[in-house]
Amino acid sequence: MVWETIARYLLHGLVVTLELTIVGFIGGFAFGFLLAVARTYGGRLSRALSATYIELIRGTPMLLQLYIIGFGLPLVIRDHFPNFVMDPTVAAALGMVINSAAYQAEYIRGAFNSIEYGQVEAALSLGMTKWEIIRHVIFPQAFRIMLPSWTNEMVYLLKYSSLAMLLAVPELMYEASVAASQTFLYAQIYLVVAGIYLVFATLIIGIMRKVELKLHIPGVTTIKR
Amino acid sequence: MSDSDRVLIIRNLTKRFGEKPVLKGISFEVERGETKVIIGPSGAGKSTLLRCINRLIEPDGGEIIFNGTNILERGVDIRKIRAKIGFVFQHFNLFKHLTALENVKIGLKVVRGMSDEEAEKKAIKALRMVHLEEDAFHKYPAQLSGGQQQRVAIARALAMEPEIILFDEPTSALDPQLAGEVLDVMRELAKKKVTMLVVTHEIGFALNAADEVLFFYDGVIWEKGKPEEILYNPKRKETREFLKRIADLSVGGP
Repeated sequence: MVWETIARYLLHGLVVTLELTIVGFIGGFAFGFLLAVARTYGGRLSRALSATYIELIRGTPMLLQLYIIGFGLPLVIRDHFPNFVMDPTVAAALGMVINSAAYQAEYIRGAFNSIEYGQVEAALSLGMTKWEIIRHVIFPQAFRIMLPSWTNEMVYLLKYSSLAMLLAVPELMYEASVAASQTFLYAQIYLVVAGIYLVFATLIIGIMRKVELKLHIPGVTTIKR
Repeated sequence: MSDSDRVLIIRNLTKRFGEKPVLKGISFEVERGETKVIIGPSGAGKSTLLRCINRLIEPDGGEIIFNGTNILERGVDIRKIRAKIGFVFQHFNLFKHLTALENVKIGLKVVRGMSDEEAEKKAIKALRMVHLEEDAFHKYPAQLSGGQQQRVAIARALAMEPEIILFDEPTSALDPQLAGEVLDVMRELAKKKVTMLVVTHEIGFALNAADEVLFFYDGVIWEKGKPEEILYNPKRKETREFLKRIADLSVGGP
């Protein structure tokens, strides 16, 4: 059965695509959070470094970033460590973390800035430290405010992980193209793949919508019916 | 008077924003159990003065002696001091993601390190002191009236068992009826000898709750005295003019 073989290709590709998406998202959040804290609450130097990083990443194509990490970086490292090899999937995941961090940093910073300074003054007046304020006052609100942009970011990552095929990462698009070139069922396979992306994007949107409803606090977030 | 009777001693406090001097050498004292009211024109620096007292704004010079410690000296842990100075803001500044009860609990838990149970007990007691309706305990700030929000903010300050509470125009953002319920609570606190320093335009409150009224004008304490003296028989022209303007406003404008 030809479709059985195709299904095996696509399933494998899907797993890699989801891995890239999840790693990109979580890693991007962790790094992006630090960037946002540095850019919002840091000293002059950390603000400048964070801003430079963010604008550098947002101002250049993701594909270019993937090429630098996937093709350029290993060559440079090999000059010093001749046995170094980088798995293309690792390179792509790293690239997605680096890219997503810049965008997530901006979402987080926007959410931080939307919390009025009065609440910070109130927390300072109670005797809280900067980190206690970030943790107990700013973050719980920023997190909720950020949820819709997070949904966008996840969907972007899901779709733009397809760029990793150009590093020969065996993700969904790559596996689809292999299967298509072997079976010549281009139209059929790519339509199925479109359906797969669509299903997962819709799933992400649906789940995040539930999360938004669940975490909704009047006065912090607004819910559109 | 011994030093322990004075919670706060302010000497020659100065602050400028850029070229503009806002505080030009402020001196006064607040005794334990006293209610002191500061009146004066808007935008003149009264809020800046209050924020200098717990160093939300860094003063340029002078002394702030709180419970015998000059808090402007190096090596002072300002967070420990702030935990002992309550602050009630014009716009309430409640934490929007926390219910009324949680707003009062958070300082006790995070800053005072209390257990959840202990904090809850104290918070409930504080919310009852400000007569917050029981059904509002678990509501979020956006679900409360302005008057309720400000009473929660007072409870948040009270629960920390501060040595003094600073009020920055606590009723200016409220319509008269809601202002009334907040002022009632503040009057009760004055009767209970909670030490308070109140910036307000509420002349009625100053008259019947203040032990002393300070008129803040042009960056200094222009005139001070018993409420009746300052409010009925001010010695200085600027004080009279200010009070006349306030009176005109309260009857619907000149």
